[in-house]
Amino acid sequence: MSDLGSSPRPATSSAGAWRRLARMGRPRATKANVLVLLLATLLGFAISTQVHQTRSSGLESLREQDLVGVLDTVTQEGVRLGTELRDLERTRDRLASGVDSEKEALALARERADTLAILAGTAPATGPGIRLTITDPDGKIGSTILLDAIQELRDAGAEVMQVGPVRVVASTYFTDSDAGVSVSGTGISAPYSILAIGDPATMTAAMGIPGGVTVSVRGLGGDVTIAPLDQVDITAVVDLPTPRFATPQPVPTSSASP
Amino acid sequence: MIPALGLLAGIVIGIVLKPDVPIWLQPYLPIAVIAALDAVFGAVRAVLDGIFDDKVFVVSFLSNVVVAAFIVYLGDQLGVGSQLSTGVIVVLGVRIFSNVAAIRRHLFSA
Amino acid sequence: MTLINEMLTRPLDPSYAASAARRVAAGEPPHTSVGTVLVTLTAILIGLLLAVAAGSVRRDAPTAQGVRAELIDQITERRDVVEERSRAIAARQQEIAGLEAASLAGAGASLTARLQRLGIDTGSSAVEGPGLIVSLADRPGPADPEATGVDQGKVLSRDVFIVVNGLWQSGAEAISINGQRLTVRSPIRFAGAAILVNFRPISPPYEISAIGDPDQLPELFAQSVGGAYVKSLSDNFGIVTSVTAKDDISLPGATRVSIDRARPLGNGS
Repeated sequence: MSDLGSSPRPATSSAGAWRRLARMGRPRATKANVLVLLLATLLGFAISTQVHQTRSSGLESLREQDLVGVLDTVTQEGVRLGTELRDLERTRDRLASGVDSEKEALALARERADTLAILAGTAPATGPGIRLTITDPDGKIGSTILLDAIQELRDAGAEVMQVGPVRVVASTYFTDSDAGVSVSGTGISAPYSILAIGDPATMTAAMGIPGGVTVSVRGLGGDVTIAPLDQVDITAVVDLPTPRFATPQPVPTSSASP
Repeated sequence: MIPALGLLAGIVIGIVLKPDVPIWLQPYLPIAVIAALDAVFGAVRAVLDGIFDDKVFVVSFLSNVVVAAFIVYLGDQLGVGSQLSTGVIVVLGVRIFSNVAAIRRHLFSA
Repeated sequence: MTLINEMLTRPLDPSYAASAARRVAAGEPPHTSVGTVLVTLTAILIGLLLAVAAGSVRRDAPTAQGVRAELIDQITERRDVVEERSRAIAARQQEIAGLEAASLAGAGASLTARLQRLGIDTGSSAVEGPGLIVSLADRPGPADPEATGVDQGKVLSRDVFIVVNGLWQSGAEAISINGQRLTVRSPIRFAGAAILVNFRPISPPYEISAIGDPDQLPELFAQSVGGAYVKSLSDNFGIVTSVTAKDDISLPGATRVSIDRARPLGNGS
């Protein structure tokens, strides 16, 4: 209060203003102070909530049609996993029933090795599929377009693929080269031909989606032609170097085995 | 006390019955709500001022709703419906705030 | 201005004052009772109006914001189902491997070794080893969910697969993105602004973990197109990137390693 008496005019010196502010800021345990504290807390909470609301994270930032697409994909994946889970449960029950378990296990293991060999790209495969041809009269199609096409085909359920003479596996990479594109180090040139085993109808439809590879290729002066085939033979195989750094994680001892 | 109970009863009836509002009536609902709130706060203030009159309350409520709805209807016909309903809400909103300020002065002298 | 002044200074209906004055002149008290039938009925009517209005607004809500919230709820729900089934599948695979190992103990040692090697090559078994983690995250700051056009500060599926391509080129032996192990059948796609790997939506930051030669992988990646691409993402578009070498990275096995249509060639049909 003495301050008020000495300087009645509004803030002649900024030091006086600061002192007043400091005095107001000093904590006092009055009812009004507690109330103000409460209100300030509420305001802070409200601001932070609002800020949190407006900031986007994950799904919240997506538009409605994008969400519909994501929901569709996740739903389909759930159905696929459900089927796979039932198959595995049947296999396990067959193994666990144990009558012919040794012979059964050997057959199953062989079957699984055959499947894995196809996926690993070390064994040739056959099945229904498509032949996709990308022409490039202007020489503008690069590795990214082919990479995009492979992703699009994988999305449409392609199981086994071959680009030119090269088998596509998980670790296949594409780079640009003088003559065209190089696939895992093997140079290929236009027209690029991709063989894919999978559902021909799904893959054909997928290649035509708006914003997809077909549109990009046509924008660059090329064209995409798709031929559905009843039988596609994929004979190219890869010779993968033995993994030197990736080692299997120790499997926790299974209680299922006696 | 009795009017407050009536208000509560009306809310409960509305929640329980969940009447369907016809589409043509829907644009008028928010306006009617604001007009009703204005009448209620006006009435509370009149009670505190000691000059409450039941007939004036009823008439002011009904006329508020009817006039507000009519203005919005007119606006819709002229193609400025949303602007006019904003105008009505602003005017009634200002009135509600002034009345609430008077009520506050009566009850808390603050 | 007069209108606003009028509203602010005399907000109360002037009829109240007028009728009060009339009653005082007639020798009655200035106010009537609050509890009359008329007032009560009007109060009920107003209450009803409030409830109906609130109810109709609540019912209309799903058509606007509600649809998106509903969709997000459904996606989260089904994603949980997918996660749950993935875990169950991993558990079954392990049980089967255990049963097989027990039965094959004598006869199929070479087969077991072959399966183990194929597990690494296909991505179906969990692996660990030294390697590199490349992390990509959207440019900080609020994004407009309704914005049209391409937001340059957002990581796109294309950015992710170009980086992955660079890592394979640099000799990576196994790669996973946010816990999704890449196999020959793993698409890296988008649905609008969302990135999907193995048909699951993943959210930023996108962590691409690759196992490979600790002496060469970081250097080769830095020299590759992928490495240059990461640098340009951060320099030109403000995308938050980091490339970290790590001694011990563990990658989960892929959930889905099956084929439906392809058959081994030469085995007949």
